[in-house]
Amino acid sequence: MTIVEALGKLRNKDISSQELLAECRKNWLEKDKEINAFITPLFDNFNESKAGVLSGIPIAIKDNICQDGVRLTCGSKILGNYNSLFDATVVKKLKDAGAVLVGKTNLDEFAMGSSGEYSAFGATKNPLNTSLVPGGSSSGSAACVAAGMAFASLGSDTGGSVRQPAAFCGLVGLRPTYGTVSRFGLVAFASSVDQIGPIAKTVDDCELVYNVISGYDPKDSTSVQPQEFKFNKEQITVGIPKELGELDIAPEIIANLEETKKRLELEGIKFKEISLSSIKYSIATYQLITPSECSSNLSRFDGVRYGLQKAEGDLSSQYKSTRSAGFGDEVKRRILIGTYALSEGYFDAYYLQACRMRRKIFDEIMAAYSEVTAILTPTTPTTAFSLGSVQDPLKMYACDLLTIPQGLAGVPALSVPSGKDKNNRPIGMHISGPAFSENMLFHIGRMIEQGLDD
Amino acid sequence: MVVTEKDIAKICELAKLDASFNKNIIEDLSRFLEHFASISEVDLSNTEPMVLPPQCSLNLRDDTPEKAIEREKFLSEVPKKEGEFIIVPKIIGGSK
Repeated sequence: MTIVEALGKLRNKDISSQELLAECRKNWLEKDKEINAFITPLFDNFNESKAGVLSGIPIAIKDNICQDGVRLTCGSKILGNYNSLFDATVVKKLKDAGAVLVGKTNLDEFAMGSSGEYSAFGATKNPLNTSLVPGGSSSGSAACVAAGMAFASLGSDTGGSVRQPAAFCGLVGLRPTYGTVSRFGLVAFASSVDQIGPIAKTVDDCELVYNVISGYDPKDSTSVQPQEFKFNKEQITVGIPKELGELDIAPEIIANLEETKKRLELEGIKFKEISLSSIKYSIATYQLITPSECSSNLSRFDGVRYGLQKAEGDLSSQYKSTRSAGFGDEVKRRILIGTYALSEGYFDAYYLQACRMRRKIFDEIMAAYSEVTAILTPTTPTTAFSLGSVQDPLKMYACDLLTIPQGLAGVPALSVPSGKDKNNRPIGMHISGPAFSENMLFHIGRMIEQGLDD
Repeated sequence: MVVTEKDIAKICELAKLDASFNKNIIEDLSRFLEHFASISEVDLSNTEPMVLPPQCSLNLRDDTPEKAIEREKFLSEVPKKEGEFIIVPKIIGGSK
């Protein structure tokens, strides 16, 4: 059942909100010991939900987003048993819309990961095939929706952490235009790239949740006023980068891209080859900028005001003991890379050069949007891989090859299921557009969905 | 190696982290940084750095006091406290 269907049944009194929650709770009880989607389940905390556009709909929240009075872990040991002191703006908006918040979901620690295997609370498994990863870092957010434990969830997307797990789990995931969804209450990983986005079963459901959580927020200094994006539904031209042929993408996924293109052409969409020559530098750019930002953002976790404290010697020793004990290896690795990239003597060569490359990637993407209305690529270079099969962090970073550019540019992108490979693993197609073009992405996304149903 | 032992000591001190989590930290960080250095091949001397997407400008609020989190609620999460004070180890006279 989708959110749209559930809302119809609730309106007609064919079902009650308690029954919807009970169904999600049953799936959680039966499956989550194995899947491990939730860190803090809240299925037993049901109160009569408010009236609103999502009234009675069970929704899960990634555990790097604050929910007042509820434990916040960020998938890490360093927060100990910390409970959030306030609601994130997106959480307040969901509560005001009547959503039933069913729990905080598992994630790669501090949103750093692409598989769901880097959490201090254990790996999350893909509900469609539990020998596979669900993707990350919003691993639990994707897994819980795919397993029927929630109707939708919120994740956070920096280099693809909403879109990639959505693709791996056969779901729809949106990375919104940077600034359109408040980051107030989102624990920052890379502040200039992070965005909260919905994961849902259908494009309509995803749009519904996005409309609730988006909007200007004076509490977020990077929040923007929404802007109207006009496009002609009869005159959509979609660009496909020619550089895809040079990248290491699974042949079945390329074949699926071709099939998707053909289906969209039957619906009147025109296609054009474009060039994004800087795409090959996007991982390096991202892996210099985001660790630099995270090395600053994570300096607040020092054991003084909240969380884990390893009291040892003087203040400096306490900082070191607490942080060394509390952070996982991947987080430490990225903090050290970022600290190095920002340090005296290296700042220009690494961080500043990466910021210049970010501008080049952005300019190329904007130039493409002067030729085409949207850009289509696969969401991921492979389908979901086996748990434990990718040990080299550099290989793990390559998962985000196709999703990083939009994060760096601050433009929106939508992943939509578009079929399966020969092993029955979902494939996702990735549509991106200029800033504020979410309405167009949903329109094209629906065409991909409907083409699949035909 | 791009990264030296001296670099590791310096960045660990800056980041307040112990490098012992990774026996091969020098090789690993060097490998990462060499891999990422591909962007240094490109001449970007005439390109302005981009720090934020252009639809954003930093919106500052008025410099007037506003209600935030109640002090008692904030203190409830502090690991070590005494009354309204947060307890920390010795700062002055401690090691660097």
